[in-house]
Amino acid sequence: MSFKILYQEGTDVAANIYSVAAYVDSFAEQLGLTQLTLDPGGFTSAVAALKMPDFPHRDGLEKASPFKKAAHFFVWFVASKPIIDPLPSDVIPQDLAAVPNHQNSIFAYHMAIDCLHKAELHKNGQVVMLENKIKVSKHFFCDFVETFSSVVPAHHFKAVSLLFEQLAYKANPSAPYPEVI
Amino acid sequence: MSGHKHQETIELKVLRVASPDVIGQTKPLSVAKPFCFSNAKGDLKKVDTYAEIRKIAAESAANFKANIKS
Repeated sequence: MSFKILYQEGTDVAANIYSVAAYVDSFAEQLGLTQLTLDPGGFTSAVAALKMPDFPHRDGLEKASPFKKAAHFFVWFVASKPIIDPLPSDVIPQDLAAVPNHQNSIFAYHMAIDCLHKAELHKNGQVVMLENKIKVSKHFFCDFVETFSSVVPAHHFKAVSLLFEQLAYKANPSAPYPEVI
Repeated sequence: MSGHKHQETIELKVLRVASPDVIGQTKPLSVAKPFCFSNAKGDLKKVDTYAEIRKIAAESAANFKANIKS
């Protein structure tokens, strides 16, 4: 029996904390880091955003698309700055390491994209699965991190959601609504 | 509340929490607690265990590390 990685229901903020902590810890370990320091206040704030009663969608969290859910997680994680330690320049390029708050943008991007992989879209009574994972170029990725490393959730949520949606549709050409305009 | 009780220990190897009262010191982060998982359908990716989340993260990190400085 499966459970959602993000936006777990029923219990409290803790359930989402375990998911995000497990993801960030494993990602950091695979990068070769031996320690990664979290700001407990920022971490709690980032995860608590997943339980916000005023999710920025007119029909609420439950009827929001996976793109909006992924974007909501991304903007709040980056803005809350839960990861204190920047990534070392032996792991990422110098120009990326020079971007303030790059570490939170990099971790949040990957977790959001992984959560969109095999996400389910409900469209016109049918369930469409996003079978293919989003992939971008190194150039795009570095620009994305720089663009959103100083994100303001209320200002950038919709832009990130639209971007995730189009990236997912590019990777899954049969998923979009008819493109007619 | 829907779903079933499930117990799984999550081993964290890298994360530390900055101690708010002693600047520069850290302590291990412990998250080994039971959770409750949902039967809801239609959403972001679902997994069966936290170990699966770790595997997904490790694969993404490996790909990132291999390509970001290439």
